[in-house]
Amino acid sequence: MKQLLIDSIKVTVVKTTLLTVLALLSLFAQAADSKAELIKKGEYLARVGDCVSCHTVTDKKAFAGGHAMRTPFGTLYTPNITPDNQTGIGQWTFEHFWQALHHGKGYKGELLYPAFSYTSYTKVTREDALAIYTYLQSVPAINQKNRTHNLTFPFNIRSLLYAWRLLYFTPGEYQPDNSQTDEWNRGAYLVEGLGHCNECHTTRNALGAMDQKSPLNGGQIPVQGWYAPNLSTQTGGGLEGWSQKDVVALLKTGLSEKGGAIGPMADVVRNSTQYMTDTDLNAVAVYLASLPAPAVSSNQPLVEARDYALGQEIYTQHCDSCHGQQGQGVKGIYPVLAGNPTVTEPTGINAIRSVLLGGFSVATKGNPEPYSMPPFAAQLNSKDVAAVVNYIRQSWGNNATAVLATEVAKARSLPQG
Amino acid sequence: MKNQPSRCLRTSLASMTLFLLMSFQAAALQVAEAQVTDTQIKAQKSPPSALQNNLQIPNTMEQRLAACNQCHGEYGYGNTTDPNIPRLAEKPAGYLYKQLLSFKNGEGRNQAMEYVVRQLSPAYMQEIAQYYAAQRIPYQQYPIPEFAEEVLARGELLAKEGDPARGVPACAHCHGGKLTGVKPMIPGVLNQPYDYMVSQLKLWRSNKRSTESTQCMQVVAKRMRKGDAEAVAAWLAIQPLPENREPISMQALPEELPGWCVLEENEVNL
Repeated sequence: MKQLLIDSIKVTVVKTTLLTVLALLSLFAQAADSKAELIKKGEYLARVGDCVSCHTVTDKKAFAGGHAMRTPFGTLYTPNITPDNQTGIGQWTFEHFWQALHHGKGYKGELLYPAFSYTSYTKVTREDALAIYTYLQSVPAINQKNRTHNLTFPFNIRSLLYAWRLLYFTPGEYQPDNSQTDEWNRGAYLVEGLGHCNECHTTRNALGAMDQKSPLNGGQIPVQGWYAPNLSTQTGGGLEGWSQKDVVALLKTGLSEKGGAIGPMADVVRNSTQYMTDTDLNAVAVYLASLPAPAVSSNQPLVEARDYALGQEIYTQHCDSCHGQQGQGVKGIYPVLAGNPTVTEPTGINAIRSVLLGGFSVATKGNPEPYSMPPFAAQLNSKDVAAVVNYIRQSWGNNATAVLATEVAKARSLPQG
Repeated sequence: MKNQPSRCLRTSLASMTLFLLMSFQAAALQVAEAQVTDTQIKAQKSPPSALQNNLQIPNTMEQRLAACNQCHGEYGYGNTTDPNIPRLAEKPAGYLYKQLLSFKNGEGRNQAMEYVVRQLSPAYMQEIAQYYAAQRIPYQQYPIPEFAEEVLARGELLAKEGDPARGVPACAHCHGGKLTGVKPMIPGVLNQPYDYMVSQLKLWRSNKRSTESTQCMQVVAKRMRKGDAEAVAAWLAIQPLPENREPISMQALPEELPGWCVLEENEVNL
């Protein structure tokens, strides 16, 4: 009897131990699972935020920083955001990361330059920020020292940012608009927050601050020399006539039936938007469709091209075999020119640079072997480039202001990278 | 007789009238022509109709690579006027891929190339490299400046024997006995434009050329003496091509590469 009791106690102890071990194991497994999930979510969100475009120079050293951001105030070098303890953000707690993303302050509380788009990232939720933080802490640590910024006086005085922030920065997570659908709110959250579309597509003032009253109204990208068009799909908007399908196609494949992504936007598609889910891309399109038509039409008063006939001649010689006599393009291959916002944006710089630089449509999962356009910088003089740009800007219903040969000549020396 | 002047006058008047009429007519025709042109232009300014979407675009790599061929020639033949732009055809695919990769990683040696390759994916760059490596088209011979016999002789020596005293291996040591290259990483060096070869050797020497695949040529170029780059580039540029100009395989190379020369073939999947 005694032996039986001992045996039964033994069995119970073993059972209990086993159960405890199992329970603990499953807890760990759950924790590991949820951490893996968090990392996965963070990776996706880091894609949406396109962290890699600015924080990477070569693919071998992803997130190690060192990319030169040329601004009208000097050059800033992006920091290392890999989990390296000495040179990266290995020592950062989530609170440090939140402070940077939400408040625009560095590890020691120093004010960050708004070339890091915290004016947009402040809208990111704490939950999403935690996922991004967890993901960044999981990427390979790379030991690479940050380069010192090279800013001109007086912009190299960091404390001036107190004043700038007072004027132009309001920290705060995205607040859903309850009168709108969930899809609309998701789109607004992505566009205004993590996607930081405003940073290029909104007009900036002399101090580099965005015009907050007219978001996404189109803007000149400083120093790089590209124009980010107005994103309204309404009459007079930069994306006039674009359907939800067109917006999604451009963000997913780099090419839609209404136009293609070039310059910095091609970078965005390559590194970021092509990886977004259809649900998120559609949400973005729904939000853009709700943007009001521009108060002032984005089409400036028309200056008639005086070199239209010459432009037509050059177009026939070099362009119409791909873009068509009517600027109709070829679906999925060569972009349409009639109504294409790259062609008709107010400044003409995008069309000028496209003719000078040529290049490939962005290679994406949806368009893995893109076609290309020859660069004409060596073949055509500035007068000819202006003429053909004017021809495409004023044909087939396009009604944009003429450009000058001097503008073309200036564009030749813009940085290409 | 009295009538004669008046007849003369009448004739003059008649011919003047005729002339005027004809001028008017011509002017009117011109106006009409101008109107036609105007209408034509206006017609072209109108939006396109869906029916006109009928361009036939060949579904080929050659068509896709229009941006490359503008400077590097059809099928990578080379640039017929600018000797600083290299031929791409027949160069080993691994070598071409590494070149594309170094431009994509923005090493800052050629802005135009960096812009063109920027939007490509690694998979597409591999495909492009394979495309040019597979093209078999004639070579063109580029002119070289006038050199003394001794200079060309020095070039030949460097190509065939190297300069052992300075630690410079022969070109043939690594680029294949017939100098037509070694798959997948080492390009052929025969019949390349003189200007391109000289400029590349100088870029190696000043550490400005890509080290994405190897640093071997950096060592070689630095060990060469002044004038060697020109000598060897000139001799190589004017040599006839052997009948079989296929790049050889690494196993077919008679000697091993120098110990300090390590080819980085990772990321190359050809």
